[in-house]
Formats: sequence, C-alpha cells, structure tokens
Amino acid sequence: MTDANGILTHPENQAISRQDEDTAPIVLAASLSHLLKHNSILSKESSEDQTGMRPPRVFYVQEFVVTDLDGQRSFESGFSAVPEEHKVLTVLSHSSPQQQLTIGDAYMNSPDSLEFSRREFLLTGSAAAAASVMPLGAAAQTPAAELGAVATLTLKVNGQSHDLQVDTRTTLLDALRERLHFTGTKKGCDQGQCGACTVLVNGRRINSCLTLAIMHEGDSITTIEGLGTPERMHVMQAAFVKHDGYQCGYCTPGQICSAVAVLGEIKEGIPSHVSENLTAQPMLSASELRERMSGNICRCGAYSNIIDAITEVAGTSGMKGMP
Amino acid sequence: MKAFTYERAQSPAQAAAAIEHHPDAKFIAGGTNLLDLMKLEIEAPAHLVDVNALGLDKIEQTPEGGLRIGALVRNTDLAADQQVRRDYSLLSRALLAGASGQLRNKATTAGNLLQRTRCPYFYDTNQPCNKRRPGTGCGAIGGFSRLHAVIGASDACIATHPSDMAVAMRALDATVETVKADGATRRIPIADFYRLPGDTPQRETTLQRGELITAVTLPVPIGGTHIYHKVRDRASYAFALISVGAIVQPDGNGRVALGGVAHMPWRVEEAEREMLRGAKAVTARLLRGAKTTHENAFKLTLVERTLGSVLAQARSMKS
Amino acid sequence: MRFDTPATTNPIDQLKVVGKPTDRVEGALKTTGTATYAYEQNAAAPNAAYGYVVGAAIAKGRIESIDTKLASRAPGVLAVVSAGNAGKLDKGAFYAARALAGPDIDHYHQAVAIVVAQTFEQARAAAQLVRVRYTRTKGAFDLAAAKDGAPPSKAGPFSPPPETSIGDFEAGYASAAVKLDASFTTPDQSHAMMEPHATIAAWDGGKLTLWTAIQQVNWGVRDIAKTLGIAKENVRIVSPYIGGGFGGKGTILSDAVLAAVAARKVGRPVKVTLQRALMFNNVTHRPATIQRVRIGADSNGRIMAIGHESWSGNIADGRPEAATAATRLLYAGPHRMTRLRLAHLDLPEGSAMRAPGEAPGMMALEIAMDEMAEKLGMDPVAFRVLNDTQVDPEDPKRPFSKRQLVDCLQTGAQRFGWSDRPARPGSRRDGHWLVGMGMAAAIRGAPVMKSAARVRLDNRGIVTVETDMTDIGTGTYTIIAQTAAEMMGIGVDKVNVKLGDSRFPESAGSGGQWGAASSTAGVYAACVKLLKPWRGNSTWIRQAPNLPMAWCAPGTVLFR
Repeated sequence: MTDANGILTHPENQAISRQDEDTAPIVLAASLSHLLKHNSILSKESSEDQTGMRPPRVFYVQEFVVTDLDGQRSFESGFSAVPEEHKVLTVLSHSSPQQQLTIGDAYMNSPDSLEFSRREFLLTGSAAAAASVMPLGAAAQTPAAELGAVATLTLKVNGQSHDLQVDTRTTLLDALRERLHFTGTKKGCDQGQCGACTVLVNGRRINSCLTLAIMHEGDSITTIEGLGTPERMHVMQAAFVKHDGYQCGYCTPGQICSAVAVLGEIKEGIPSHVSENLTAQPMLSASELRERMSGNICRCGAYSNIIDAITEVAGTSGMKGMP
Repeated sequence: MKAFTYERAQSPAQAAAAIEHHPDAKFIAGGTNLLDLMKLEIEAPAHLVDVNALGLDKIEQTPEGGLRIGALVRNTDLAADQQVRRDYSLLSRALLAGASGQLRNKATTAGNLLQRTRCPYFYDTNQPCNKRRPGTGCGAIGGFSRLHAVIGASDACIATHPSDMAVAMRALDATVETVKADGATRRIPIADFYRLPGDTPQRETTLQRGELITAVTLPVPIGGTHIYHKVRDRASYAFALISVGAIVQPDGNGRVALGGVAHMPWRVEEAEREMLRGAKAVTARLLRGAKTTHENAFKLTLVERTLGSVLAQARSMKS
Repeated sequence: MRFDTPATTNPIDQLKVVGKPTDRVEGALKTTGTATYAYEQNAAAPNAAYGYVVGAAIAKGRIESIDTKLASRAPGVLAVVSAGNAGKLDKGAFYAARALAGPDIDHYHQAVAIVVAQTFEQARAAAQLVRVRYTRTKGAFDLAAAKDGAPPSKAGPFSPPPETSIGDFEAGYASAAVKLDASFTTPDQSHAMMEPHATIAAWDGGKLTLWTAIQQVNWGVRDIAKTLGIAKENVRIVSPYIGGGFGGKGTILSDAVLAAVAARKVGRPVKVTLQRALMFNNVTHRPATIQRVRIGADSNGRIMAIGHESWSGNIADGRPEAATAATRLLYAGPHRMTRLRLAHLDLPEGSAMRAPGEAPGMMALEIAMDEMAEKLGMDPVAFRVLNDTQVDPEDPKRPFSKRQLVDCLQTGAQRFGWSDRPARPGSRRDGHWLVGMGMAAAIRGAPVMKSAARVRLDNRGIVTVETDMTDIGTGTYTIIAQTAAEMMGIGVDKVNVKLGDSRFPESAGSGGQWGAASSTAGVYAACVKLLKPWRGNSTWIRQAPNLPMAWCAPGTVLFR
C-alpha cells in the first residue's frame, strides 16, 4: 500500500499488490532481527542482479495470506508456528511459468532458494496486535510488540553490557531511561535544545535525545549514575553540592556530565567561540566556561553557582589559567 | 516517528546504492538534524543507512596544498584541527559560533551542509509550508518573519539556511565531493551546491538521489584576516539573525559571505570589488534586489553595520 | 497554632541551624541522578503503558470528526481516547481551561486525544495517525485589537477588585503642574521549566494514584477528584521531586487528567509527558498586558495623582493579569485610580506565573516613575524618597508595620555610587559597551497560608517530618529539616523530611511565594506540640537517655 507520497507503508490488514513489471522480490520477515540474521538476502539481492531482479521490499508481519488473482488461497500461515531459522520468507517473482509455488516447502528449504511461478498475486499482511517478537535468548525487557522494525544490540553503559531488543526508533535517551531504567539522564525537550539529556559517549558529551540506541553498539556510554553515587560521589558532583549548583535538579545530571566533558575539552586544547586566540591553549575563565556550557539550560538560574563548582574542580584538577 | 529499518553501510558506493535502490531511504551520520525532523515526521525515511563507519573522518592535505575534509569529520574536530585553525580560521570561527558543544561533537561536515531550515512554520506540521508539503503555502510570508530571508527568496518560501559552517565554506570556495552507487564521483563547487527556493523550495541542494558526500575540499590557503561575526538574540547557542564571514587581505580587498539572509550562504563576488569603498558600498551590491518583510527589514541595516564593524576590526587586527 | 501575636523569643532564635549555610539535604540525590521525578517512578508502576497527547491543530473552532481507525490499529496501540470515549470530565477549581477539547476547540494545542501504546515510540507514531477534521472559526488573538472593547475584570479569590478609586483622579491629574502619560506592553511568557508536565496514573479499583509533577498536592487531589467525579478520599498524589514549576504546575493539568482517563480505559498504569512543543500552548502561561500609567505632580515633585490601568486577555472564566497591585501601595498621593480590564482572547489560559506576580505591572510603574523624575528634573531616587508613604495610601489609618524603603534607597545610592552616575543616557563607554546605571523599587505582599505538618521522634533520635508540601527547587527539604532541627535541638542529619504525598498533612503548597514561610511555620507548630509533653517531665526523660536536647521557653527545665 502506498500513501499519497508514493511511500510504501507497512501492511496493516491491507493488501499489497505487485505490479506486473515489478520484479522486486518481496520479503516477509517476523522482525528486523530475524531479517538481519538473514541479511545476505538484502545485500545479495541489492548488489547481484543475476536474474534481473530489483532489490527486495521488506514487510514485517506475523501472519500472512498469499492468494493468486482468482482469490484462491495459495498459502495461509503465520510465523508463530515456524522455527526461528525460517522466519524470513522471500516471495520471488520469476519469469518462468514452469516453477510451482509451494510455500509449504519453503519452510523446509532455505528461504533464499524459494521460487515460484510468475503470476500476479496478492499478499495480505496482518499486523495482529497480540503478536510479539520472540525473544532471541537475550535479556528480553517488556515485549517490544513492534511489528515495525526491531533490532538487537548490546549497550555498554557505565562499564556494564546490556543486551537489548529495541524498536529502531528508540533514542539513546529513551533506551537509557525507559528500557534500562537509568533515569538520571533527563528528557527536557527531546530535540537537542536544552542539554538535560547530555551523556558521555566514548568520553565525548552528546545529546542522547538526538541519537539512536542502535547507532551505539560498541560504544562506551557514561551516564550521571556512572560518574558517581551518593556513597561515592564524583568530584564534580560533590562540587555541585558544595556550591549549590542546582535547585530543582532536573538539568543537573546534564550539567554535570557536560561540565566533566568541558574540562576535558579545555585540556585537549579545543578552542571556543570566545577564545581570543584560536591557536593558544584555551583559558579557564568564567567566560570560557559559560560559552562551553551554553548547551545546558537551567531555568532555575543556578548558572553562577554552576560556574563556581566547575571552577573549583578545574582548580583542584591542576588546570591553570583561572583569572 | 515512522518505523524504519537500519543498516550500517560497508562502503561509500554500497551506501549510495542502498539509498538509490530503496524507495525511501536516507543516510544518517550525526543525526542531530535528521532525527529531530523524523520525530515530527517531517522526514520519514523507511530505511536508514548509517555512514558513520565508512572511514570518511580524516582531514588531509591535498596534493595541491589545500585540505580535504572527510564528510564524517565531527564539527568539534574540524574546528579544532590545527591546520584549519592556522590556515582557514574563518572555518573554525564559524563552526565554534554554531550550535552547542554537545551538538558540535556529533554533527558532521556533510550533515552540517545538509541541515534544513529552522523556520517555525516548517517545523510546526499544522502550518502551511511549501518546503515541507509543496503546494500548501508559506506561513512565514504574512506571518512572523523576523528570522527569514531578505534576498534570493520567492513567493513560495522565505526560509533561510541556518548553517554557520556553510557561510565559511562559501567564502573559502570549498568543493563538495560525492560518490554515487555506480562509483562515479563528482566535484560540486559550493557556489553550485545550494538551490534558491524558487517554485520548488523542497529541493535544497543539487545532489542527486543516492549521491553520498564523501569530502569537502578547500583550496590552497589564501591568508588574510579571517573574521566571523554572528549577530543573534543570545550570546550563544542561537541561530544567526545575520552573520558576516569575511577574509580581508592586507591591501583591504577580500571576500564576504553572509548567513541568515537567504536560502543559502550569500556571496556575490562582484560586491567584493567594493570592499575598499567600505561596508555601505559592499552591502548595496551584495543585497541588491533584497526583498524584505515588515518584520525583517532591519536585516539590511544590520548587515551593513556588522560588515562595517568587521572591516574596522580587520583593519585594527592588521596593524 | 495561630501566628497572630509578635513572635518574641522562640527556639528559632538560637540560629544554630537555621540561618547557617547548609547543603541541600537532597543534594546527593539530585547530583547523582537518583532523585525520582514523576515520569521516572517505574518501580511504583512497573507495567505502565505510554500515552502521547495529540494537540489541536487549529486555534479556535470545532472538531467535526476524529477518525481513530488507523491509529487504533497501529502496532502496540492499546487505546485512543478523545472526548467521545473519555467519559464525563469536569474542571478543577483553579484553572479555567478544559483538559480535553471536544467538540469545541478553545485554544491551539488543546488536547484532542491521547494515544496509549506499549511503547513511547508506538504511541508517538500512532498519534500521527489520528485524523481530526476541524471547522475553523474566527478567534480573537490580538490584545491590542481587543483592548477597546474589554470590560472590567471580576473580583475573586485570586483576582483583585477591577477598580479602585481614592479622591478624584481625573481632576487631580488634570490640575497637576507636571504630568506623565505613558503606555507600556509586556509580552506573553511561558514558564518553560526544565521538566515538562508529566504524570503516571494507576487505578486500583476505584482508587487513583498519580505520580505527577505538581506544586500544590492538596489542590491536585481536589481538582482531579472534581474533574473525574470521584471522591477525594480515593485519590492519592505523590510528588517528591519536581523539575521546576514556576507557577505552571500549580495543580493538575492535561497530562494528569489524560493519564488518569487513559489508565482507566486500558486497565493499566499509563505514563504521560507533554512534548516540549506542546508546553507553550497546551498548558498555562502569563498573559500579555497593555498598561497605561499616568502620574501628576506639583512642581516640587509631590505626586498629586497616580493612575494605573491594565488590559489583558484570557479564555472564558480566566482571570486578569493583576498588574496594578503595586501601584496601590508603593507611593503616596491623594488622588488614585487603578483599573483592570479583561478581554476575551482565544489563546491558552493565562494564570499564575512564578511569584512575584507583580512583575509586569511593577516594571511599568517604575519606568513611569523614572520618566516622571526626568520630566521634573529630579533625581529618581530623591523623587521616590519624597513620595514614600508609611501608611496604606488608600487607608491612612493602616500603617505599615515596618517600612524601610527610604533606608534601602539611600543606602543603595550610597553604596553603588549613585551620585557618580552618567549625566545622560549613552554618555559613558567602556570599549564597545555603553555603560549606564539605573534603579527601581518593588513591593509585594507576603501572604502566609495555613499549613500542616506531622513530626515524629523515634527512639533512635531521628525526627521525621511529613507534610504534603513540595520542593520544586525551592529548598523545601532543607529549610524544613533546618526548622525541625533547630526546634528539636539536633543536627540536620538527624531529620528525615518526607514531602509531596497527599497522605501527609495538608500544607500551603508551593505557590504565591508563600510556601517557605507557611510550611516552616507548620513544622514549627508541629514541633512545639511535639515538645509539649517533655516540658518538666523528667521521669520520661530518664527513661529515654538518647533523646536530643530541646530548648523550651525560659523558666522551664533544660534537659539532656
């Protein structure tokens, strides 16, 4: 089904019809994770054009019915009863009329080798609400129940690895907060404009609301919880307490993560907008700190105390140059 | 945000092929603009091709003595690069004037060029916007237009391009290098990279479908005094009302490009011949044909005065 | 306890804890990300579904139809709730706006539906599939256009009288030797607290629990009960940490109502937070004003007539922005007038903004005073000193108990080198900065409201304080701990403060800048009551050697 812009939408009790000249294979998969396990289909079909076929269109369904144009049902089944390795079904279109379709056979063959007679047919996908993605033996969280795209990944957060199955749309922020329950990192705007979601990825501060969890496989992520705990506080956390660098506390984790990174960026010699001399080692001045911290908004107005806290840590960390 | 599938590209050509063959796919690099737009379904790709691991993150000298900047170089790293700071400091200054530290750490060279307007009518999907949905009208024309374009706009769209980096790239005569699925490469001078809105404001660049930016190259350094002066409502972390990127040579000649005034960085080489005559003369030629609204007419004066300040600063830095 | 006589000496006077610099007692939690805000109460409601609010796409009109078919069938969706299936909804007692639109749209981004799904991403995507057809009607959005037709506002519990009049302003002004007639405008302003409104709602039979971000917990209980038509006894609100309120979270709003309705519909807890883009038009804001200040003085600079008029707009049943309050009190003058006029505007509701609410009007008055001083050729400080009053200008029989404004003005002038200020605006430069100097005065009532607390002393010597008072960044946890510590003669580390639960005694809540004074007074009163049995009861003391030292009124026995 295409919408007004000609974009294919996922089937939701809607028929997908194939055009006569369209030789793109249709791939039905139980989920992206299943598809990725058979990702040879995608890359193979895309780059090798042996049969003149175009790369496949992928639909995620749990149940489907294949009928030919007479309305005769060629096949009707669902993935729920099918073993893991067969949860990907390629329905090819081929110019030869001799080959017969026996989708029943498909489950005994490797999905790659399925062929059947070229004829127009209708595919009906059913996005049954009750269906859920089968866990892959990983630590399954609340069932994703996502019949769009799901991916598995391992997120390394605060030194610990977490196996997750996530909707591909999940931001790093929501993966941390909603899936892993690291609620220290905050959602202030979800659009990269407030900095409350700041975390450290491989030591660099980023807005976790504007990145996808799936993009961070293999990265080392540090959240506020990883910097310190009430029993063992990071020196920056302690400084914020000492200088009262917060009021409501909602921007605070982002401020602290940013502050830690800022001192690292100054040490690295990265200049800023207010650095008078672009090539010199940046100064540890209040105006430098304010500029570098400008991506962290505090509506309670604790800014001056935040600068005091960061300045103290900078001083005690042996950084020079505080006028 | 609409559901999408995701792959990590293995090579630039394969990445480009993945886009070309998928009915609705987009590259994702830093994601700091794309994901923002996807949450609002202003962009709704069905497939994302992650290009972060393609090794396009180097900054190297070109054989001619210029600089090749990989498309995936992060804004922070580009601004901090020693060669850039020394020989192309306008680029450094422009990058540092933009966004926030967190965003600069994630945003990439190519992504920065390709970022889309922040016009509030573009962003509010309840409002008419010819760029977002061709044919629906333009809410800014006749609406709140203080931030909008004063030159090169059309009756269909008065949006501005928000990038600071692009202004510097334009002043520095950068070239955008691309690759397509079949491996064919192209070199697009930055002057030819962006489009004016015309009747098709939804088309913002001259890139073709499936064309992947691999690098941006800069010519041999031309020296001079480099100044980027950004005027905005806040001291930091805000888009430009207007900005002036200038390179002024010891003899007083040079180059000027403007941000915040048009659908692209605005540079008119003819106007640069007036530089010795001062800001008024340059601005008159630079913004000849300007069409303002009741709310943004101030930008014309602001450009002139900012340029005047820049030229004065250049003179004082020289001596 | 009634605080209606002078305090004289009392335990707080020791100032061993109160008045000493103290780290916020919850600081370790806030700086380590372990303080739990509303949306984060996952342990309390572990299987919560996610709600996403759909805001009206038009500013005024009607919903002709809502087609939820596509949205309902989207992956993971449990329910789509709109006016058609939300059940009967009333309004709370404080805010005028309806949480859920339908069939009428009262303002832009008013909630028209909530989509509930298994995950946030599913709910958000399905929200885009809700198809609403609207009929737009003409609305009023421009205060300047509505100004001339705006009638006087109405007096009420949170609204001052629309007109005050002392003497004969028009005559007094007309005959004044020097006159100023100035107009001012202030814009609409948003609270823009860092934590968007957020609620988790869970039903247990007919009992509702809301974990929500709210300033006044008992108002919230009252208002959600009224809105849903349930008994207050069946509502519990829990709000230990709030990421900023600034007047915008006074009591429950659309997130709480819709979370409760959604949870009722799907039979599961539902968590809702407003997307930032909705925060400007879905919830309340401070409305714009147009103001006119007229001052008439004699040639010596004595104010003869002072009049202040203010226009603002609001939705039906909304209140005026009370910009004229300060003018009634700050300066002397025999002929006085204030007027408040309220236009109907189809903008989102205007309501409380971070106190002092005097700010928009205070600004206008003080600028007018400066401009009047300039007209008179007088020093603006001297002009104010000349027109100070030690009595209520509207009722001279009512003196200020203590008013030291003149002292403040003169001390400030001396300390800031006021006599050294630039003679003309724009005459002093520092690099490419122009440097100037200015001053202004301000006045605000300091209301104190009824506030209760429960204080308990256990046999480890720990004092536990419980009150439904909230800490919205204001430091409530700490000042209540300090108050109890001072009263009980212990350190702050021996005080356990529990806030923001409707099961705790009703406090004044965080609002009107009355929270600190009122809630600590309540704790003070509770401590006094707690200490009563010990006064002179030495037998009891011997049996409990670990009791803290407590101070009692002079003449009673000090014990350890």
